[in-house]
Amino acid sequence: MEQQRAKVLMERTLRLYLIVIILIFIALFLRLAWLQIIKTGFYKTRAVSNTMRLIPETASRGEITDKNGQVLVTNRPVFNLSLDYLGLNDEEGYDEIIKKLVAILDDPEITFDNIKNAIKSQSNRLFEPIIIKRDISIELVTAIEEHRRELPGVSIITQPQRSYNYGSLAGHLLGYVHSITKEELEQSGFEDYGLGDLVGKTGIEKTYEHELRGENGFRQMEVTAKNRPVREVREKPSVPGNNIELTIDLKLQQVMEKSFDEVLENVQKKHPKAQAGAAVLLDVNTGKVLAMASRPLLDPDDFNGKPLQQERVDYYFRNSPPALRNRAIQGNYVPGSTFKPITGMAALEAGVISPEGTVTCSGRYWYPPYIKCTGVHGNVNYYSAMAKSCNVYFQEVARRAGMGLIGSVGQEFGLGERTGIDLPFESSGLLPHREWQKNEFDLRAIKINERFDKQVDTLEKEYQKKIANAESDSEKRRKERELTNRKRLLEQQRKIELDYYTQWHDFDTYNTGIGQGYNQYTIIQLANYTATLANGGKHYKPYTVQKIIGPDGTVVQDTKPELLGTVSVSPETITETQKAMTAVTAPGGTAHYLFYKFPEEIKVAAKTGTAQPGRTGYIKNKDFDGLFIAFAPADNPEIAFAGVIEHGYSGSGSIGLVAQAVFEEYFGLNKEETNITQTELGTSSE
Amino acid sequence: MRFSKIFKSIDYILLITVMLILVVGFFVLQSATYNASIKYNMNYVLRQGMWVVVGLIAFFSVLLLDISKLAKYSNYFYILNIVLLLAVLILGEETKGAQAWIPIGPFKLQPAEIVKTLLILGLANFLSSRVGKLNRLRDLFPVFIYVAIPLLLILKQPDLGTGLVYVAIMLGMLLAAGASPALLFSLVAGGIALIVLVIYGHYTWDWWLPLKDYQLMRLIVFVDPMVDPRGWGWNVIQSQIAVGSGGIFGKGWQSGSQTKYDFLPEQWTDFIFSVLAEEFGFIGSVVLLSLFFVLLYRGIKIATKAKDTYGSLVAIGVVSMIAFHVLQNIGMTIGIMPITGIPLPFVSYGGSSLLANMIALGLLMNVYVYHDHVLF
Repeated sequence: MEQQRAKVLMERTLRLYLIVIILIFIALFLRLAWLQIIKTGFYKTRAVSNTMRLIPETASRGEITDKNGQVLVTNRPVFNLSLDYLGLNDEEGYDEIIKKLVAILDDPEITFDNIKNAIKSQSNRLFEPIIIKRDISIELVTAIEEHRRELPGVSIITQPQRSYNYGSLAGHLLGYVHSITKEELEQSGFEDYGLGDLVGKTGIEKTYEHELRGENGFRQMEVTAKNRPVREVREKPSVPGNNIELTIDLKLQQVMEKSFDEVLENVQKKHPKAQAGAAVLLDVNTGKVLAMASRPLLDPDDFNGKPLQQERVDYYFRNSPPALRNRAIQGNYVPGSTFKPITGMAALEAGVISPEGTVTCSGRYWYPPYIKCTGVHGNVNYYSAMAKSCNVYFQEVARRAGMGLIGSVGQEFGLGERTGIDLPFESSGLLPHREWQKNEFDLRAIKINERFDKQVDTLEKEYQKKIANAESDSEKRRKERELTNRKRLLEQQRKIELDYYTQWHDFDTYNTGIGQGYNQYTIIQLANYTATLANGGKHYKPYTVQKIIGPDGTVVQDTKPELLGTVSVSPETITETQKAMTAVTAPGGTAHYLFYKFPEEIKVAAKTGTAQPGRTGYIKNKDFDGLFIAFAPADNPEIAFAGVIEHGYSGSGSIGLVAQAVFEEYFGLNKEETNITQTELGTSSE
Repeated sequence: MRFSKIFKSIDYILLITVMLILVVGFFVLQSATYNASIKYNMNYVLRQGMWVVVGLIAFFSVLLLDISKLAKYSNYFYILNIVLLLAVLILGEETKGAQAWIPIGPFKLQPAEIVKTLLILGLANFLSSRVGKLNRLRDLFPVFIYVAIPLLLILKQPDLGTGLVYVAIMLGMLLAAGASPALLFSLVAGGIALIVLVIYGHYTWDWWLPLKDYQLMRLIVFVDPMVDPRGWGWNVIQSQIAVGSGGIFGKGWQSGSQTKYDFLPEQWTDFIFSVLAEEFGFIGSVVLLSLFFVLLYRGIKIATKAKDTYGSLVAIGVVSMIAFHVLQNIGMTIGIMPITGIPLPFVSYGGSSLLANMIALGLLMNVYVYHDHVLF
């Protein structure tokens, strides 16, 4: 009976039990349907991304050659030590491996923390190898291969790296490559760059980044959970970057660099502050840059994939002068006497002088501030004044021509404006023409007025209080009078300052006329103005890249000279000025001793310059920059030169020697000279 | 009873269903062990096959004697259960933080699997006299104590998975024995609420928690696997990717990328269902679910047909055990249950589990074979 009742009861409870089981199965069924039918697309993508890895393949960066195809910059394979984060799953095991790796490497730069930081900084791209050290030695490669088993996830990747065949030669012009920064990544045009990619930072490498870079490829690999590759699924080979053929002539560049170093060393004996400078050699009929140098040196290899040492950081970025700057295009220099041809041309154009007309130099100009001349030159005409660099003559000429004309001639020759050369960070320099004067003086007037308004304001407030607190009427009146007096005084001061600072004074014109005062130009501007003067007035845009050549040899781009304009200065004026500059290298001229050995058919036209920049670090009337401009042959010009040596003291005694060496090389004169020297040596040894 | 008679009275639907599950299991096991890193490995399939043979012998052996006649020895089963669990604690070899294995010669026995069956036999007898008298909470206490003693020994190992199976068996058998469903439901709900509260308390007020860190992490990643996607959450995430990416038709036998390339953890034991779901898709999953449902449905039918309450309760115990294994194992692979390492019956690789399940199946069949008084 008991059994029977239990059985009836259980039949009922088992029905309930069945319902529970059915509910469980419905739950499982529904969840499976959700995952496998509704959300399957999502999970399919996840499964594929689980096993697929894109392994980027860096494109080989384009080569850079000189105009004759001599390779200046190429690539060499380097071994990079990298870590594969997915090589292990658990954090602790990873730390162990990193510790082991640090012990094997035994490199002070590579510490446990550094590696951890490298991993952290790549935290959103951990499937890509994390580069621990670039360019490791072959010994280290072997050592790591030997410990392969203990170092899962550690691998060595071969990558092309920039290789500079001539070291620091034309380092500023070529520029350097380095890891891209976050800021650069955000710029447009850099969408397909990744953190850790190399990018041109300065020079040609920067301007032609998108030509040189090529197209990165990738390999798509199927991998296991342990990130072991199983097979290659797809491959997109990388496309090498385009090669670049410069307008630079290796031989000329080498001579310029070598001569620059020798001259600097010599000048330093007398003027130890002479550390920096720049020089440019242009083809006057095209605007091609044939050679360009800047000091202090920049060795692009210093930035090549390794962290800079502190000493190097100071050298390139902090020191004064910092070496990073390409002084040929980034340095603004007071031109000194190299500006005089502009003054002369302005005066000739204005008809206020004739080349033969004389001015008497008694060692000092007769208008205030009575600027001293380089000597007592007596009666000088255009030619002799140029040859001797007479300050009195050119001040007088500037006075006659007036600042308006000087400014517009300077502008026509491209001074005070970026030349548009295909190099980054070009400075504009400063030509104090009328327009600039107006802007500058307006700005100054605003500043001066602001300052005085404020002073008046505080004064009034101060006296308001005093007058309000005055105990008697007489004291009040006294205070009011005091205030009026003091305000009048301030207004007088204001007027004096405005008169002085917001007006163009006559002496400003004299100063400008001899290349001092507000004048500031880049060396490339000086070179291009010299070239324009040399070729009869055609103002070309200077350029450094002749050809862009695809990896298959096809010419992608062949640069044609770009004529920016022809100066309105008359041919006669130009011819006379060329003649005057030729007198500079004739006997009695300031650059005679540099070129007297040159044959008759290769006369050099030049102008020396000794500038007082008035910048910090320069002692007045003691420290000078040496500048030099020149072109040759004087009667049928081919090349133009401009250069500067900071603290070089004189143009002919410093940078002029570089011009001499480069011209000798260009016209093939140095070979005879070396022969002569050798013969002489031979004779003396006999 | 003679074999000829046994063969005549066997529930063939049940037997064929289990055979089909075993066949499916072989295919999946082959795939799970055909692996990118361990290479082609027939060993697993062969060994599993050997255990099937051993299991079948055990299955038929269990049919030789009417289980109802053993009801009076239930206390011995209960004591054997406790002795085995004590032996594990004393002699057990530690793997993955739990003392689960007893080495016997070349084999390693996993008593956790067999003790479930012993509990069923003991509890069936304990409950059979209480059927219909389990309406109040007070009535349930003796049952709780009866189960709690072996349960505590299991948790001591610690083997949370088997512990949960114990609880499930107890709840299933209590439900069948007529305990108030509302009461049981409140107990389960209350228990879950208590666990949530205790874990919350652990993190907020630093309460003591009788869980090891890894067990706690499993519960946490169940709620949010992205807390630690490469660590504790890995299994949860990768398993669901495997299942979901299988789609309706699956990627094909031995073609699952999650399986082949080692993304799936424990793929021939705990996560074998994910392999099936990835390679055979929704269709394959539903086929296996259906087979399990048929198995359980037949089990419940057998319970209703049993000649006495003891038999019914044994049958329901076995059904509860298998049902919970299926729910828990498949549930964890698809993210509706936290991860506890218990195998999928008849599918997961492992001798002890297969043998224990075949014995349990034998008990179920035993109830069926001997249900008809007339035959004997």
